[in-house]
Amino acid sequence: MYQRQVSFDKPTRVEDSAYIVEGVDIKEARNTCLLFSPKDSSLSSGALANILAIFKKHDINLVHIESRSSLRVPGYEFFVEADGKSGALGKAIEDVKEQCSYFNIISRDYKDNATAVPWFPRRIRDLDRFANQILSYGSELDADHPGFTDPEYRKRRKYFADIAYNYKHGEPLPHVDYTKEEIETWGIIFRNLTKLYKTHACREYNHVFPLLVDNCGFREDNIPQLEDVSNFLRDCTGFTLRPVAGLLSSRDFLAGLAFRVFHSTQYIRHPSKPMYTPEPDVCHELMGHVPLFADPAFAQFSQEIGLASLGAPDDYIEKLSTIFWFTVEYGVCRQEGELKAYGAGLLSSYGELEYCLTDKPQLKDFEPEVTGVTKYPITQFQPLYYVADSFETAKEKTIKFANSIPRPFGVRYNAYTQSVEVLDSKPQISNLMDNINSEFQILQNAVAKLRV
Amino acid sequence: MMAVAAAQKNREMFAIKKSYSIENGYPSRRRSLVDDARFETLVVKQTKQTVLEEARSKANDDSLEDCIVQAQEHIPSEQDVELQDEHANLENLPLEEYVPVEEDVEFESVEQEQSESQSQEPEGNQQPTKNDYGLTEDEILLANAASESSDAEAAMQSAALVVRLKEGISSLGRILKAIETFHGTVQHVESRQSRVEGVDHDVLIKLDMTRGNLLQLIRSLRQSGSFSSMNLMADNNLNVKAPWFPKHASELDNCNHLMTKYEPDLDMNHPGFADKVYRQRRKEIAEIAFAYKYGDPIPFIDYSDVEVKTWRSVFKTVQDLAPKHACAEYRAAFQKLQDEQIFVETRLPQLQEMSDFLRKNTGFSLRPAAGLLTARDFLASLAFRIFQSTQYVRHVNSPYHTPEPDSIHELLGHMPLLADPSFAQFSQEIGLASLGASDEEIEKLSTVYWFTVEFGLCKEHGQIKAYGAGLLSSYGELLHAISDKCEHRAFEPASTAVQPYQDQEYQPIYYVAESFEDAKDKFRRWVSTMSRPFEVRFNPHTERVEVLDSVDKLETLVHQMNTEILHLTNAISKLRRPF
Repeated sequence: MYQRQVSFDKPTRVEDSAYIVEGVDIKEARNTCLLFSPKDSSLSSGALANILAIFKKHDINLVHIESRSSLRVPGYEFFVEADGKSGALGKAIEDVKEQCSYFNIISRDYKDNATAVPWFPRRIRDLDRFANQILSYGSELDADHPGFTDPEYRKRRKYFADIAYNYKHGEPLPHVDYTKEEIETWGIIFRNLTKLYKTHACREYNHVFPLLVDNCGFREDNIPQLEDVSNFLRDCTGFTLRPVAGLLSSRDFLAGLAFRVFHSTQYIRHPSKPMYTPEPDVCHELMGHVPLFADPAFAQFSQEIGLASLGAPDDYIEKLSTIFWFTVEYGVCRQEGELKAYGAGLLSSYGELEYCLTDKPQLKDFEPEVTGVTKYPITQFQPLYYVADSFETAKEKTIKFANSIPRPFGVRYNAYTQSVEVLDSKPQISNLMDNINSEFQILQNAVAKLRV
Repeated sequence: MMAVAAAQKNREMFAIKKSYSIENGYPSRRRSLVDDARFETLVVKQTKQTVLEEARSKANDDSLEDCIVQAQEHIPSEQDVELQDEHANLENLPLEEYVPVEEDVEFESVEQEQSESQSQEPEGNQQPTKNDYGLTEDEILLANAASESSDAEAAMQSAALVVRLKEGISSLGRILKAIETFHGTVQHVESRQSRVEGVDHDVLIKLDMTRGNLLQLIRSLRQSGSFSSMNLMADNNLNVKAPWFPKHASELDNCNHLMTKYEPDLDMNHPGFADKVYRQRRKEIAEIAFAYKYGDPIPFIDYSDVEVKTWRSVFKTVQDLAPKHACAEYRAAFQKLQDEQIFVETRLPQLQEMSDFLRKNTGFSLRPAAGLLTARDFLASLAFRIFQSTQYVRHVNSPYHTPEPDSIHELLGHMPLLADPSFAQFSQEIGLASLGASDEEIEKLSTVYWFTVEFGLCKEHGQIKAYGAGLLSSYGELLHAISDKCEHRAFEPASTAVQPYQDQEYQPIYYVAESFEDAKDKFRRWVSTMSRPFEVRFNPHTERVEVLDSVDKLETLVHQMNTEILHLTNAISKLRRPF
């Protein structure tokens, strides 16, 4: 049984943590999704009518209903989305459950129900539903932000926030006309960082970076367009970018990774302090994160963190966020006996990139169970870095760690349909086994034909 | 890359052009993927012979000039070699003085004679203009690629040569010297014992060289008798003579070679022959498909009342027959399409909404096709989970029969099952097997496709049900297939692939699959016996076909499989553990 956590009306950052407690005043977040199959599962029968009557009796406001062929039991299953704040949802759920051969609850406001699983997107388009739930540093800046006293800069930030707010999956990423001043800021950072990459960045990063220069216009006098970068990434690993106005909650950000979608900002830090930014800006995203998402092994590793987050309870979201922090953001690896940086926070920060490979910080091997509960500072260099043997081993460790997350199903990403499949019944596991069998036969045929 | 350009050139030179049936008088009056494949095989063979002969004829005319130029170029830097050869000449010829120019010509001729005698070629005369260089496909492809522009000729390209040595590795030195002569850079040399009788070693040489010089190098090496054969390999070690195939979904823009052997205005018996409005309509819709490019939205077709009326007739018939005779997967998808208001009798579905539906269910998507594609192009598209579909409608006077696949056949016959994951994978397997396959194998794959995707039956709780698109969009053939008038055989790819078939009347033989999974397993094992020297795999993240021909690439696949198995392990342990 879970300890009931304090609820906040507005999204609030937990002290000394990158973890954000979600607010409950956002309309979408209050809805509860139910997935069930009536015992009498014929679509034409009165089973559905009976169930709808139950909702009506308990004064439940239904937002969405969808029927589809069931993979679990013969006949149909229903996907119902209910307003979680209307009526006596708990009682309605009890009544409905009695009439169903299969029942599952997915809710963002699930703390009153121990068996509920947090809502998570099933299709890539579902990412539209929380993209605007920005938690901090959107168009409003703190008083201590370098750009707070600059009306022109704040106006510019609103421009970028509006672009992200209006974006929907499937549309081209909007073109941004960066100002001369913004390009100069980018240029300063670009020149400094490219001096260090050859000696400090991992092999995979140094392999991809020249390709970005050639294909996406990575130059000191040009800020690349997200659309060009997104198309490049899609060709390399299937990753794509989404514009975002500011910092998402950990749960929502990690959910995007499950679909090989990276939420990227488009604004740039204030020109008065080019070597420091209080939040991720386009320099951090494009020079820090983008190159490694073009590497197949790293892309897979990132996706595994995202998949592990789907339907996970809050304490595991915090652990996964910490793992993300110490790998994708501040990860170090050993290559040919030398330490190299692969974390985006390092690769987009001149000072920390130098610092992390010196003798000053402490080094430990990456182990998800340990890494996930490590405390860390946000506003200064890390005192401790975790070292990965390779992206492959890091991925395997993460998948095994995901098995310890208390949710009653496995998940798998179907790249053909860009959807997440919940593996919680025999037919779905059979499908996965068929897929593995197919891959194995391809491997077998390929080896037989290899000229050795 | 040069080799890719050469392979693409190969495709362009030999592929069937648009509306080829008009030019060559394809006799058949009905659509058949198998006959299409056979016809394509014949035409490709004839075209290839013609092109090769023309190229060789042209090369012979230039040969004398080349000899003189080469002789002049080489004399200054190879004085010792010249003297030694000159000495050899003196041993074979009477003591007689020659003037310098004549001597040079004679020198080259003697060398050619030696080369030819060692090659065991019948022509041994001393008249250069009659010598046949016997240009290989490698050289012709390279020459065509190089002749596109002076930049193309001077472009530095990576290439890999596999040379079979007759006289041991010591003769490798001469090859390396020749490479140096043509300003090439050797990147890698690797030899191994040859499996071919009469050849000592196979040597793999990776080098960088301009396209023009590479062509010269190949010509030079071929004239030497020390090497029994030589192959030019592409970047990923594919022989450039292997059929070109697309590696990314966008390259399907090059897979629109049409057979269109049966058009309304060509055949008096076509239902639309005398209908000018109908023929004009067909032309409009064909133009739309010709203009389509990968990534475009599929254009909207404003179907006429007459076309909708035709659709309604067929739709109602299928709606009546499907519950009893169609397989469970078809029935389920059909119901889904009705629920989503895509299948309604009042309007013809648009390809774009159908494509969106398929993508959501199996990742399949559609491309508009202007008519009947060649078998190779059609099957290649399936490898990318892309189905090329027509958008025109059969003539209203004959709603229950169409001489070529129209949108009604595609929508009612093919689309529902492409929404089934198991069937979608089976279709893709056929497509993947076609990439880089020989013409003969394309014929076999087309036959398998015919007896499965088009006219297949399957078992379902002991009863025979239809899943082939040709059956599910033609009520006459559907009833015939289920009856006792025809023969039912178990699906076995090896025998199905060579089974003669009927395209004038209903099929006399139908093949019955135990299930889609069973059909897939059998098909996959059969495909592994084909001649293609590499395996391919589709990467759905990048919509790219990957050629698995090296240990590195296999390692990537193994990592991916390991990930899937870990997911499987997690899922099973979740089932076992009470939450």
